[in-house]
Amino acid sequence: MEKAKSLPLDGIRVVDFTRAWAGPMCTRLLAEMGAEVIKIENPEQPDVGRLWLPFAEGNRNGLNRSGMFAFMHGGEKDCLLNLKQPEGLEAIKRLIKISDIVVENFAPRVMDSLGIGYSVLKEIKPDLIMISESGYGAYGPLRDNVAFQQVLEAYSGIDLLIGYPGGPPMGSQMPTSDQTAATLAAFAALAALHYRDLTGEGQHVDVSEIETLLVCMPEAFMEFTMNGRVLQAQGNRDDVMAPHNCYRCQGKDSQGEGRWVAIAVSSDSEWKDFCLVMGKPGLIADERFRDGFCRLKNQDELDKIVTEWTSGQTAIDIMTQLQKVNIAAGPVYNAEDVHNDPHLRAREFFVEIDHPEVGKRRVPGVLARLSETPWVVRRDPLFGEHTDWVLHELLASNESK
Amino acid sequence: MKLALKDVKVVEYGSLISAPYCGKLLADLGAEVIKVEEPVQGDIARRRPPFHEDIPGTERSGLFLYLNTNKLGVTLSLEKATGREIFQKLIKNSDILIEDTMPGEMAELGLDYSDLKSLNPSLVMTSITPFGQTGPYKDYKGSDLISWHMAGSGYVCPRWGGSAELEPLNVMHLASFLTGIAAAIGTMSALHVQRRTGLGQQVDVSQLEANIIGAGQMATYWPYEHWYASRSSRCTIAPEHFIKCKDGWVCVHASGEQHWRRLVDAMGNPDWANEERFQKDLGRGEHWDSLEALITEWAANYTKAELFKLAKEKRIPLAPVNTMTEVMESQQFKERDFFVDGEHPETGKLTYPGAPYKFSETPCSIRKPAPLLGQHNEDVYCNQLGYTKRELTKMYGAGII
Repeated sequence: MEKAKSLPLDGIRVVDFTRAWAGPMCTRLLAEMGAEVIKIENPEQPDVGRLWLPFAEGNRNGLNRSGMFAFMHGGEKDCLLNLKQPEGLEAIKRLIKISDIVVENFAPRVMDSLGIGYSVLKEIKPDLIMISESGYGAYGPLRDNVAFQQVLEAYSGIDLLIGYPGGPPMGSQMPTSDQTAATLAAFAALAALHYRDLTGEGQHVDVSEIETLLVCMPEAFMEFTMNGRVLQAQGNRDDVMAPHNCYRCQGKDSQGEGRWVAIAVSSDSEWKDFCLVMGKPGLIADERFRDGFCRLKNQDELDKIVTEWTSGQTAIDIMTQLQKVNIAAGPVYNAEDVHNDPHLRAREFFVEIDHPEVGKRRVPGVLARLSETPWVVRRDPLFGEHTDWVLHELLASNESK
Repeated sequence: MKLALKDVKVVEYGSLISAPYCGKLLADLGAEVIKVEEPVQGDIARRRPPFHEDIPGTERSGLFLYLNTNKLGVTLSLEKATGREIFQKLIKNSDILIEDTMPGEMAELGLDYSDLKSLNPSLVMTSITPFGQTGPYKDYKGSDLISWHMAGSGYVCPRWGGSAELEPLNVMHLASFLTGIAAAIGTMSALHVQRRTGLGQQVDVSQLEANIIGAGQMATYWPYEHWYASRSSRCTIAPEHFIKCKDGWVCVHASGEQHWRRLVDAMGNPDWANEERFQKDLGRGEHWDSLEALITEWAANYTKAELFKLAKEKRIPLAPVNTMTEVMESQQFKERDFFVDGEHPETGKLTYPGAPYKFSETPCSIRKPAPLLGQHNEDVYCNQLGYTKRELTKMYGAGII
């Protein structure tokens, strides 16, 4: 048995052609697991992620100051290669020959046109695993459509399910399909690796970003295929639970916006406790709210009553009182609050990285905590930091073996 | 049939979405997943809508049927001594346990990680909880609403038309799906270690933490720029917006120069597009109200489908804001066989969202529908563990299965 605290993917090498969001987040996960991820960047065309907000102190001079890039590329190595030149292409083929996994998120025809499509790479490395992420997938009539996350979100149908009842589509401002694509691509890579280790066979996995979002909204599709009904946006409301919403609280955050608390009451016994905590025992017998069916039907009135109670108190106080009687509640946090939360601090969720250009920063930690071989969060690489190492040490030492 | 995880044996003891989705990801790739449910009641997802033909029933929930394809289903009460003994036998035969009980619950049953490890040292035990196994909130009750909003995701939702006066928004059950995927990745990384070294371990997955990572770079804004976005902050660059057209909305993401010029070209190069104020992405953002009116005036002459066709020709990142009907009818998903049919003994043939990836060697399929409550008791308890049918009868009477 190997010594404990080794990393789960020790000894696995990944060649990473990804840019922007959904691709880099996938390879970042593999890097946290200990894979040696070598990010390939075009010397004339850096990853656009290096140019994305936020920047250390808001200073966007140079390619090494983006917090977005830091988050997406922790623990990776960075190698500059021009794939349109023969030397670059030659080097990349030599690198892939000594690697296990290739991940790319170019538009579907690009790898083939560069001369490094799966069929070519398979000749070089027969048991290679290649993960291709694209907006609509590697085939189908929309294969070549230009795809951005917001556009995919629109096409998925989810935009009509995000919003206030009866209102217009509003979108999420979250990297929804980027995150589902990144994480499901990482899962696919691990599954393909398992199969390779078992059988010696590699394979190509075509990950469609839009489909990774569709698989996370089954209620909408099942309602449609089973009952022909189209779901509508319903704010924070639930089909079964009420109260189930965000309620206004006392106070403002550091940017002057109001405070809110999220509350989800899941049973009649919780409702009774909730009434007692609110100091309104009379509501328990109130006909409008006496069971889940009534509470769902009279949610507008219910939400008004809850708001009367929450609006005079802080969100943290509400959470504490409700959690004491085992009712799900928590404050609506902003991106500053998550850094100050005592629970996340006690769990040391955010991890400090030390970056040669921007110094020490706290970035989000890992998706899953393994007790014996924990993943590790490391800093992101400078633009081209490992080019010499890859071309002159890694390739040379492996090829002389 | 070649299956990526054909040699992997999993016990799933969890309900609703996160744990079952983790189990589904493994089962759809070929793992043998034994889903353990409480006798009589079963997974509470069985009681959640939508129901086939609007007839409620424990075998008719679309959410449950989707989340539990390709699994075996048994009933078992861990409150009974014999139930715990059977559970231990299942664990002895398995590689992975996925569970979502609150911290300490399994310990009370004598089934926490240290107990199970002594039965099966290489076991991977993946524990999914609202806040993780440690820390001051570990016993707090959660739900996808709570973790979504505590993670900071709701604070920035919706993207367009939001206001500090309106409550922050949830996005369906995305928080639970992101957690299920995080658990599946953590599990696979631990399985890789198990297969290589024999080492087992516990994987601690916190729904809150999975969602902070799901919010992407959002949490890095504070340490990098001491600033954070909110749902009332306006999009500074444009167009990255919804545009109303003849029969609905489209989403256009053409703030970049190249894409903006293509859009201007598609609009027939109107004079206003040359105005100084619309020349840069930031200017277009600043003057969005006027620009929106101008683009809308043009778009009002076209349907969503016409605009989408134009976008494809001109290579503009634009897509219709689809309804469920339009998604189901999309030729893209038809050609990729994304939606798949499956027979089920109670509901007959249903159409489900399929897998979001195409593995070239080990494709996913629905090999069996979600189990009826206790459907595989005989298969598992008699054929795998050696109990007799007579014993099953007695266990049923004693409320054990």
